[in-house]
Amino acid sequence: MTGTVTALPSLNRDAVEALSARFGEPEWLLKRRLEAWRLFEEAPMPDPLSEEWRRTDVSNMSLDGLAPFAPPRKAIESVAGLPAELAVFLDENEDLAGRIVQHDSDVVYETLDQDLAAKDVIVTSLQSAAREHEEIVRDSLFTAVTPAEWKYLGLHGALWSGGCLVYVPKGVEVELPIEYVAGLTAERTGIFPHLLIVAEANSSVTVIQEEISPEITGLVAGAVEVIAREGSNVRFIDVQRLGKQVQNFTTMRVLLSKDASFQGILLGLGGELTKTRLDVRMDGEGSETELLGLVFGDGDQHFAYDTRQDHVAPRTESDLLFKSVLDDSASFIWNGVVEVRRGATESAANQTNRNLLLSDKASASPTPILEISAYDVARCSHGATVGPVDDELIFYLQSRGIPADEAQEMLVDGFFAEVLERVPSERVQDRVRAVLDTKLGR
Amino acid sequence: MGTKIEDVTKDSGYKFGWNDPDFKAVNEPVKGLSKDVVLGISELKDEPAWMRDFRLKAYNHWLERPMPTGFWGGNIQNYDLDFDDIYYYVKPVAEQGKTWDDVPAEIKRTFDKLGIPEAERKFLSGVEAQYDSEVVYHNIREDLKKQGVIFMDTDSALREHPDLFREYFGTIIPPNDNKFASLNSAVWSGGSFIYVPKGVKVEMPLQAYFRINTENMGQFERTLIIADEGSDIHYVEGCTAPTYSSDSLHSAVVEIIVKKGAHVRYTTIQNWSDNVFNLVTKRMAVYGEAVGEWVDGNLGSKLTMKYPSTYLLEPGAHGEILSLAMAGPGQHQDAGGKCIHAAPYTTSVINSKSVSKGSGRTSYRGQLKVYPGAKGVKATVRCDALLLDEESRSDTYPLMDIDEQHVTIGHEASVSKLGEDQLFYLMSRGMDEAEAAKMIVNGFVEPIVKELPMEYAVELNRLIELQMEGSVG
Repeated sequence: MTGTVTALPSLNRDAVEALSARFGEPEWLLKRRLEAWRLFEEAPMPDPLSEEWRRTDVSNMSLDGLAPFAPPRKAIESVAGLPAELAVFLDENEDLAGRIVQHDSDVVYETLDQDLAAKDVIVTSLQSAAREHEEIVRDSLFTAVTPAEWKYLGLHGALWSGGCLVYVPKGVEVELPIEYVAGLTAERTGIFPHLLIVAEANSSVTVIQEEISPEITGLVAGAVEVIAREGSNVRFIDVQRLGKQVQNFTTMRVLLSKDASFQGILLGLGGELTKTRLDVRMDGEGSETELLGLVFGDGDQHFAYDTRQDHVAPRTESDLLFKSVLDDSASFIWNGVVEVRRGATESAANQTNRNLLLSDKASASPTPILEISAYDVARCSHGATVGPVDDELIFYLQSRGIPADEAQEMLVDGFFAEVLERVPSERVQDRVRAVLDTKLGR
Repeated sequence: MGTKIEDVTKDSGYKFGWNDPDFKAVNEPVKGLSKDVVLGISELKDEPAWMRDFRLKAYNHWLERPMPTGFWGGNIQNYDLDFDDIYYYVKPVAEQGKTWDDVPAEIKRTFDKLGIPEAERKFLSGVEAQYDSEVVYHNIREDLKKQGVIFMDTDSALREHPDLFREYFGTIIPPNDNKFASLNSAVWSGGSFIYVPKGVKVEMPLQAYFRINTENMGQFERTLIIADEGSDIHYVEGCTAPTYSSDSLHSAVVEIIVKKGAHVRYTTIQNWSDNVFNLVTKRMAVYGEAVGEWVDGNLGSKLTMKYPSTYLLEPGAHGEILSLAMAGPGQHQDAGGKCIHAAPYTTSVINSKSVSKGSGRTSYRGQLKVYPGAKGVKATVRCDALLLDEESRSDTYPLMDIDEQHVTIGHEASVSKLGEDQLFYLMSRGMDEAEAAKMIVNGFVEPIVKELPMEYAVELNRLIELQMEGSVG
């Protein structure tokens, strides 16, 4: 067999069956995958004329020649066992309650604190959970997001692999964060990480998701589902540090029951084209949402975020703060919807978006949308700004003896601090600062 | 034609819902739109060939273009507006009146009831009245005429000032701009044509009054305003229609050129009856150091889709949009505005206030665009919405496309209900709830109303009070 090159698997229905067979999946799961594949095939590619896509260059969103999965990767003993190009992103010894590491299409590393395991907390790959915790997966997987939503989610539904299930039983509070890493090293390959968080009543958990890759071409099309039951408290941090030629599509949906609270922090740093949908549905009375976003784009990176704060039940509250700094010819789009449905009385919502342009060619297009059908709203408001670093502030700092470029950096740091300081993990703060430093050339 | 409107309007509080059953059109109006209808209008008006061709081209655009869906608009498809059930041209008089006495009695009665000649004597520089498809009366003060100010209906301008007309007509809003601009371009009739020469400042407003009388009428007036360098003009339009059981359509196109250092203010008090679809395209081109302002009040109609735009084309141009919308039961006011910054050091302000009541829905839809290289742009958008009860709805859709670094852009919006604390306070001072609510709403819209000429401010406050009747308690 020497001299033969293994052809990449093609993106077709057979690939879906092959993937399912590779993981020895139950019949119901294969059926769901094939149904998702059908939806994927039926769904049109995004319409470049539609409001949602008109400022995103969809012409280079091609699936041609893309491998639907990578060859199997072997399990490792510790993160040090990862290839260097991924290991460089991670530390081995960290204060974590549990960790799942996915390399390409396989989860290669799983760990969970023994005490938590004893309390029936589940942190495992979704792939193995489909067998070992079949009921939870069958009842919850694709209940928050559905493959019918749009083309790339159809593809995700057909081809997800690895994945991570975080299940926290009633009343259990997980102190330390749980981390799910999805790393891509296979060239011209798509990976489809899936994070499913189920927080039972009055439980509490923090989950960090990391998407990482070296400078290769590829696709990461993930999904995040959060089901937070009555009185539970879920914090979620997403750190996207993919290579600058990777396309990244992620759909996230959070369902909140009565008095549940959710804090979501999205940190967008890498990728060529990043399109993230984040939708929080406050189904339960008194539920609360805080969404924070921080984006630093340079080169010709493009970031597009669609957020929805969906107030279904009375006395629900949400607050969103998204900040972007854009250098070179980077572009940023944010479409943020606050919907207050009829009956969601005494609810309050706010959206704030601030954009700092560091270059002439950078651009920002924020669209904050309010759709208010409930009369008795406590308050709904939004604000958005776009502009350069304030000349007067630079001048002030210069007058104190700080050179202009340094003054600008200080102001950029200050701009980010408002979001970064609210990230409840110093480790994540440090990692983000390191990327920002690189981008700022220091 | 001739539904007993008194019966229909009895409870609605809409003061202008009567029609004139004695009115007979001088042409034989036909329903529906076809190439023949378009050609017929052009022939009846004895137009030059270029205008006939312009209409035909526009008609083809109308046929080709799909109905607007999605982001821009109030989703016209959700309504059962039947374009084949509309009269596209109804000629009210054989000849336009030069003096008020020339206007036929039954039409005069309408405008007398609306207070038009009175208003002209009191505080206007000129007035024009359009009844269905044609302008039936028009007058301008002699001294302005002497200074070279042109104010006439658009059809007459095509005949009397063909060169000036052709230089600007259709240049700001081309016939293929959008579906309804195509429709207007194909069947336009009436509207105002204004030219203000260099340096001439018209102190008192020019006014046009638009009235639909015929049931299932489509009114497609076309307005073109050219303010030459350093001139100043304020144009005011008002619109009313009878309340019928079936729908009418109003689809105007308004093009305005504000040359260097000039100032144009365009004020609309739209009070169509709530069976009128109001689908209007309005746009201003504003040049160096000039100021273009829209004051846009929307109180009537079933569905309004109107986003007056200012294109700021040279340094120092300033645009301002004040938008006021009130939506009562069954109404959807989809209004807002656009400011397009295509030159450096241009500035704009959009200020929108909307009030929703009953099953009424107000939507602010706006666009702020800054082209690359448009340094030093400053723009702010401020939207406030007030909800009066549980059935009402309010949306805010502000688009921002910023392709330039050295700009200062801000947007803010809020939605709130009638404040219980405010109500309580006013009631503790002896006001009943309805009075208190009226006062709060008046205070809410005050920043916009105060920009109107006094007579209009009074009228608007009265209209708001009518809308507010029975809204609380």
